[in-house]
Amino acid sequence: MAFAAVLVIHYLGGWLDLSGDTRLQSGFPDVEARLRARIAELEQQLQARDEFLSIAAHELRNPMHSLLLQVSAAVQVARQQEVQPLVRRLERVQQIVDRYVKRASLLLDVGRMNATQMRPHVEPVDFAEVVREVVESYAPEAVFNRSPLNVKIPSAVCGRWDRLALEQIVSNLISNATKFGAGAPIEVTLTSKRDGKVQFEVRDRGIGIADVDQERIFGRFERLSTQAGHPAGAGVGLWLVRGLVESHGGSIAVHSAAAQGATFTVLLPLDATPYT
Amino acid sequence: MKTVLVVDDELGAIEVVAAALEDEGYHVLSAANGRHGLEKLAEAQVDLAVIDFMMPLMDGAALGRAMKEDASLRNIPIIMMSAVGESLVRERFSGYTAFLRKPFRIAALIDTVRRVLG
Repeated sequence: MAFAAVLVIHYLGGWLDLSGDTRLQSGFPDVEARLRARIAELEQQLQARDEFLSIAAHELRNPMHSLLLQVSAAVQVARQQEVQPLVRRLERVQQIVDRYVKRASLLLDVGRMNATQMRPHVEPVDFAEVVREVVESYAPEAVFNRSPLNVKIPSAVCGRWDRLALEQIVSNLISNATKFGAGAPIEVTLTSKRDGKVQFEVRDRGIGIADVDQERIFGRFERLSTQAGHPAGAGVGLWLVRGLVESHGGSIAVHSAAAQGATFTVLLPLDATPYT
Repeated sequence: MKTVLVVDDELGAIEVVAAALEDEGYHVLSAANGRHGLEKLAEAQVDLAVIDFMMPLMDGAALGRAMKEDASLRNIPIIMMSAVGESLVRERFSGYTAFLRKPFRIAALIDTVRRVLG
C-alpha cells in the first residue's frame, strides 16, 4: 500500500514537472530509474508527434493554397466570359475550400498544443465585420436547415484580437446553431459593454443541452449524441472555441435546457494584447 | 421521371449531387437531416433515398430504420453514403441497397443510382 502511494506521488511529480529532478528522489532507485526512462521515452514520443504534425500541416496547406488560387483564377475567367451559372458554382467552391483551409490550419496548429497555450496574433479587427462575413457565408446552410439567422450587430465594433480566431469562434457557434437549431430562427447579437468588453451571443431554439452535458461539451473530443443516432462531428469545435476565447482573456458560457434551445455567450476584452 | 431524395447536412455536397442527378433527368428533393428527410418522404412519392450516415438531429441509420418500420416507405431503396467505413455503418444499419464511401466521384454516384433504380 505504502509502495503504491509512493509510486503515485512519484508519477504525479513527473506530471507536474517532468524536468524537476528533485521531485523524483526516493528510496526506490529501481522504480525511480524506470520512471525516468519512461518519462524520457514519452517526451521523445511527444516530440515525434509534434514534428509529424508540423510536416502534416505544411503538406496539407500547400496543395490547398494552390487549389484556392486555381479556383479564384477560374472564377475570374468565368466572370470575364460571363458564364453566370459557372461563376455561382465556382464561388461556392471557393467559399467551401476557403472555410476548409482555415479550419484545417487552425486544427493542425492547436492539435500540437494544449488549448490554454494558444498564442493569438492580435491586430486591429472590426468584430462586426467578421460576424457579418461569417453570417453571409453560413446563410445558405441556415436556410437549408430552416433556421434563418436574425442578426443584431452595430455597424462596427473595433478592437484588438486574432482575426482568424474570431472567425473560428463565430463560425463554430453559428454552424452548431444551424445544425442543432431544429428549424427555428437563430439570434446572433454583438454588443459593446460598458466595462470594456464585447459580448457575442448565439441563441437557438433547438434541441438544447441537458444540465449534465453543459460543462462536458467544452471538453476535447466530447460530443452530444444526436437524439436518434450517431454523434455528428469530431467533438473538437467547442473545445477549440473555449481555448480561443480563453487565449484572448475572455470567457464562454452556455445557458440551456433539453428541448429548449441553447444560448452561447462569449465575453472578450476589447483589447486582447495583455493576454497574449 | 423518377424522384430521388438526397439527405445530407453538408449543403455544399447536396448542391453538387442534386445538380448531377438533375442533369441525368431525375427529379431531386433534398433535406438537411433525418427528420427533414422523413417529412419529405411523407409529402412526396420517392423512388430512391440517398442518405448520409452522420447527421445532426437524426442520422442516416435512424432514418433508414424509420423507413423500414413504415410500410409505405419500406420498399424504397437506400444508398447510404459515409466518410466512415462500411463495417461501422453496417453495425448500426444494414438495410441499404448500396454503399458509397465519401469522398466519391460524381460518376460513381450516377452509376450506383442507375444500377439501383434499374
